[in-house]
Amino acid sequence: MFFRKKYHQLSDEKLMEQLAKGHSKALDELYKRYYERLYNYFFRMLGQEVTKAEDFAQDLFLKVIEKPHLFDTKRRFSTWLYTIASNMCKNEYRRQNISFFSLDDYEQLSTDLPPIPLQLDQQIFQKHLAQAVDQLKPAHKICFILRYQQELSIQEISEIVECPAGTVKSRLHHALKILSKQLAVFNPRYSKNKEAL
Amino acid sequence: MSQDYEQLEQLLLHKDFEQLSPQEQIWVQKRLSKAAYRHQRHLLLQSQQWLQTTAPKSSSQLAALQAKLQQQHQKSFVDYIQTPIALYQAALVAALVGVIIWWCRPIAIQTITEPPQVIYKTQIDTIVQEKIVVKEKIIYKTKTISLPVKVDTVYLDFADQPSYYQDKTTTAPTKSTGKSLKETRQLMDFVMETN
Repeated sequence: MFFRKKYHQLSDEKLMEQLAKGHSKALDELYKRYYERLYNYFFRMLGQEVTKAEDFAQDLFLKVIEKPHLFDTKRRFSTWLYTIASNMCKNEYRRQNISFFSLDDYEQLSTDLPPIPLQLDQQIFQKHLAQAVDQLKPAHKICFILRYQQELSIQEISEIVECPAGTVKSRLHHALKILSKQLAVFNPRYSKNKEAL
Repeated sequence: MSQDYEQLEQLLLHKDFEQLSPQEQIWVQKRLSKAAYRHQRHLLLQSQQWLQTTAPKSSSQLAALQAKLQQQHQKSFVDYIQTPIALYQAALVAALVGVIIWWCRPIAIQTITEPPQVIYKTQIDTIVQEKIVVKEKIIYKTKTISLPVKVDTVYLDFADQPSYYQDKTTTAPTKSTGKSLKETRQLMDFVMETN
C-alpha cells in the first residue's frame, strides 16, 4: 500500500503469486522474462511459423493469467511454464496428425545419394537440419530443443517432460543419432562411414 | 551409452577429435568411430547455432494480456471488503476514523442553572465640585558675576624640582599679604547690590 514493490527483484514464483492477485506489474515482469524465450521455443517446435508461434505464446500466457491457481508454488515456475508449452506442442502435433520419422526409417534410406560436402552453403545445410529436427518424434524434439535452444539442464528437462533423467539422456542421444543419419549426406565421407554412423 | 551422454556431449561440444587426450580418444572410440564423432560434433554445433538464432521479431502481445488480466480481476464491492490488509494498516484506518468522528461530533449545549443573586445598584449621592485656587509664586532673579581674585600664593621654584631624599611639605607663608573679608566690605556690597 505504502511501499512500491520492486518487481524486477522478485523471483518468478513470487511474481506468480502477485499475478494471481491481479497485479499487472507482475505480468509485465514475467512477460519480459519469458515471452521471447517461449516464442522462440514455439517457433522451433511448430515448424518456424511466426504467427503460430505468436498465437501459442499468447495462449500460454492467457492460460497463466486465467488459471494461476494451477501453479504449485513449491515447483519452479520456469519448469511449469515449459511443461505447459510442451504439452501444447504435443496437442498440436496430435491435432495435425503429423507423422514422424523413427530411427528405423533411416535404415531404409537409399545409399545411392551422392555425398554433399560439409562446406556446402550453410543455408542449405540449416534448411535440411530444420527439416530433420521438425521430423523428430515429439518426445525427442522437445528434449533436443529444450537442451540446445533453451539450454536447460538434464534435470530440468526431466521435470518438464516428467520422466527420469536417464530417459532424457537416452532421448537426446537418440535424437542426435537420427539427425546424424538423416544428415549423413552432408558428411564428405558419407559412403565410407555410413556403416560407422 | 545413454548414461554417458552428458560426458560425450561435453566432448562433442568443446573438443575436436584431435584435441582429445589419448584416454578420451580411447573412451570415445569405444562408443563412436572417429568419423562419426566428427560428424556428430559438426551436427551438434550447427544445431545449437541454428536453434539459438533468434526467430523473427514478434509483435508485442502485452497490451492484450494486460486487458485480459484486468478483465479477470475486475473487483466487485464484496472483493474490496474481503481484501486482507496488514495489521498496521487496519490500526491506521481505525485511528483516522476515530479522529474524523471526534472532529465531526455535535456541539453539546450545557445549561447551567444558578441560584438568584442580590445585586446592589449604586446611586450617585455625592457631588464633587472642582475649585480653581490661584497661588502666587515669587521667582527671584539672580545674577552671578565672576571677578578675578587676587593671587595670594607664592611660587616656590624649588617645589618643582625633584627631591631625591625626602619629601618636604610645602606650605604657604604664614604672613598673608591679602585682605580680610572686612576689608572687602565694599566689594561685597557691590556683589549683593545693596547700595
